[in-house]
Amino acid sequence: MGFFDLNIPYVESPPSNATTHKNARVKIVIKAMELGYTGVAYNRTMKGVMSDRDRCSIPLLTLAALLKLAPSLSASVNFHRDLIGVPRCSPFRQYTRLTVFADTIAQCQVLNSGNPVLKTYDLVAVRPLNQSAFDHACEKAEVDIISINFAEKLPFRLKLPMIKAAIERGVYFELTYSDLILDVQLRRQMISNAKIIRTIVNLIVACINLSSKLNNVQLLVDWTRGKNLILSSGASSVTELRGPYDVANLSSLLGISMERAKAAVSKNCRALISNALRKKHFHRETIRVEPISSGEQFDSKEPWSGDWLKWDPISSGEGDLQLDDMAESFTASTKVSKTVKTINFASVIDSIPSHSFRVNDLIYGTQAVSHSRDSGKSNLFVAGANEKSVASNGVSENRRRLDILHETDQNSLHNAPLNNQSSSCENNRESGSPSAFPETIINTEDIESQPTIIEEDDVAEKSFTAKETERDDQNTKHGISSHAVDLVLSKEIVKCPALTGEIELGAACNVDNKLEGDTLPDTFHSSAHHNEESKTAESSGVDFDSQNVAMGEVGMKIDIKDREDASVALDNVSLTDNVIEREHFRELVDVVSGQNLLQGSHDEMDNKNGTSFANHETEVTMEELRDGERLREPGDGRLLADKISIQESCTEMIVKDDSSVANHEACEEVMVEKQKNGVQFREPGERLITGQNLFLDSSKDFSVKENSSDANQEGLDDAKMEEQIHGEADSETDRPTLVPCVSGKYYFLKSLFYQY
Amino acid sequence: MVGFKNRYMVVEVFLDPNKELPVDDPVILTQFNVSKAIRDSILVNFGECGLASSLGSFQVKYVNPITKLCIIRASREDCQKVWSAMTMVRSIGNCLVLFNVLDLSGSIRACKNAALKCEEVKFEHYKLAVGARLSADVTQHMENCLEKIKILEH
Repeated sequence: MGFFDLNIPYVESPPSNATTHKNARVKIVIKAMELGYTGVAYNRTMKGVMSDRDRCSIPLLTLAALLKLAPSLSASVNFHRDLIGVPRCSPFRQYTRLTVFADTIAQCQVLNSGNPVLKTYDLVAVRPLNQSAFDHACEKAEVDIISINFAEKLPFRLKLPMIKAAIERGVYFELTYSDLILDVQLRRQMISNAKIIRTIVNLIVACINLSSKLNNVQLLVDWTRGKNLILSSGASSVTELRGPYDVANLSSLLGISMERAKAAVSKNCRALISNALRKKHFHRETIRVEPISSGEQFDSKEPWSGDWLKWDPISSGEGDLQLDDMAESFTASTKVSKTVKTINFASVIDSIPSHSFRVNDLIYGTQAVSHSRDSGKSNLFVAGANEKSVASNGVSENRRRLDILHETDQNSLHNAPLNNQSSSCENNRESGSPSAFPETIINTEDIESQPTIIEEDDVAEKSFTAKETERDDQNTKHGISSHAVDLVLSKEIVKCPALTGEIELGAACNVDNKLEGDTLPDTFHSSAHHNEESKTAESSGVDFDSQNVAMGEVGMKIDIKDREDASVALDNVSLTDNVIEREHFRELVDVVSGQNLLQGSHDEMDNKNGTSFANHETEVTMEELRDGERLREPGDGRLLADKISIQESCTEMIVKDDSSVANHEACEEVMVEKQKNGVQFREPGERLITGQNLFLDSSKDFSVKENSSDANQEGLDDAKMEEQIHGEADSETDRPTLVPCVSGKYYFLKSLFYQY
Repeated sequence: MVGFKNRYMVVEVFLDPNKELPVDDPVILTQFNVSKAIRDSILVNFGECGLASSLGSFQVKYVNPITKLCIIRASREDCQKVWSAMTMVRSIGNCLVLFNVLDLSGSIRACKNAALKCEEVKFEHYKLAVGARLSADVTQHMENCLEKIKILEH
């Protein structure tokens, strides 16, 4: 579980003081990292009338700047993280926040969701200065945090109905502790206000208990676990910063129990951030609309699309990978990863061999490349592929998937996860961290089973047909509907509008992923054709294993976007994409989880027979499940693989070998693996994932809901919920977040690649 | 049976966090220094009675000036108070400090193990930071300190 300090004051410094302020900020961040925090938010305050000048202009710090001041930062950070229980490779996130001092209701009314200035910040907080402002803030203002200055006599009363209203809306109350440390007078005041604070906390708990009975806030309760309090430092200098457990203990002075205090520093912050980011980046909190212009976009950003977990909140480019980045070869590594991604992708696409794909090989980008070639199955470069394919596939897939995902947010989610995954993949590649490859998750199995998958070529949209045919064969054997794959692909495609045409099962790398997305649609189409049923492709839980999974993820994202575009293309693409994605995934998976898993999946895949398929499926699901569980653990490739695959297979069966886990993040789609049934149509709203959907198991992401004929939505919701829960539970490891596709029938689980 | 239940905290001290690069210690950590700082903080925050009740079992058992690690004992009832007071310490003498509790355990044995592990890691950091200026004295000093940990008793 990560620890966050969401209030580090940022001062708009006049040019003369710029360096001092920046230095102070750097020092604070360094200290925060050393103390074990995994995320900070730079808080800018403003009063009065909001204008365009107030747009976010907070420069985020780079690792280089931090290392300059503290060269041995990484060793220290690792040490502390181990002590606290935070995984070493979880990235350090930086967010931007604005606090509006509100005197009058008019000032409060500015805080609505349409305000463009607010949109430039990650988090928005309000500090009411009188009663009316407070009432308005609790009931109507569209903010994330209500911050009250307890270090002075409160100018207003706190009333239960107001607080209840705020809690039910999902607004958090913030307590800053720097006043306790700074000055005796402030300390005195704050502790004497402690009674009020205690009241708030109790009210919060009471409200949650009440609201838990209300259906409409069920989600909220799940997410917040009944606590809407966060603790933050407000430290204007390093000396006011304290470690997370120290802070929790301090708040016991205020009458907050240790358990709640610990949650306030970690879980609540995380939930807050993920909510905030979701609101910010998703239309109506479900559909993610991403301006996908090119592959680079995914590369540059931390994988964040739809990540359930913290990936969501990752601000662009700031999710430093601790371990990887801190190494001297910081730049080098990044470059490497990028290159790796690209390489994989391309190679995969080009040379998709028809023989089975070996997961093990997939493991590292380079290897993966070769593998993908071989197996062609590379289920999708986990990270990259998915995204890409999604994008590209999106179009085609959309068609296919139509039933499925279409949920825009799914797509976006997928995309995000994919991106994230890609990035994570990239990162992984760099660091070679095993966990990092969600991509590898591509269940190699898929790849194997589908010679066509090797579609890397196909992905290029060309050979889709060829692949498709192959796929068909395989599919039929396995009964996997390529649809799923397609769908997956399409999803990805959707994500990458630019890619619509091309579905490149980009291997893992984001970039690659994007490409894949494009190709995916094609495959999908092809697969679709093959599988009559493919319509539901997703549901058919086809053998896609990797493909589907990856595709699914991608497709999800893409779907939204490209849906309209190329339904046909999608089909074709999707198929190929899936394959490719699968391959990629496989690769990734391999890397991550090691061969065993994949091997298994491979085997499965190989057995085309329905029976074997079934087994396969089970395996897949198992894997998925494992993935799900593993997702939590960083570096657990297997898991990733499983999850990813699952996700991928949203569309179809996808041998869940794919590190669905990794994909989890990306894939919101539920893998519809209807392997069992061979071709199963995914009914809209149904979770494609067949029983194998391990996701369910894997707490994290969506658990693949077994062919649930139930509306996907349910699944989606569940997935969502699960994700959330997982998200919270998960440690920092970036697990691919599954973004449940709300609309649409299928839940595409986009497993975001693990990011480490 | 021993009726007094204690808690042992392994604490690291960050000296002068505002300084950019590690400079030579502005103040040498000693048992007396640290103890005084914490006692003052308890007095200010919890008053005479708070100080009196915590003082019974409160003791700074071990301090390593090189790695800035301390082991502090407090009674079980007052552990939270002492911890909060310690968190609120802002300076030792003239030097700004930051206390960070690494480990909290109920027995001296567990505490010793944790302290030894932390010492190792912190010494590595120290060596990294110091670089070439490492002298034999320092290493010798470290050895002594480790010995001291090993013979700690309640």
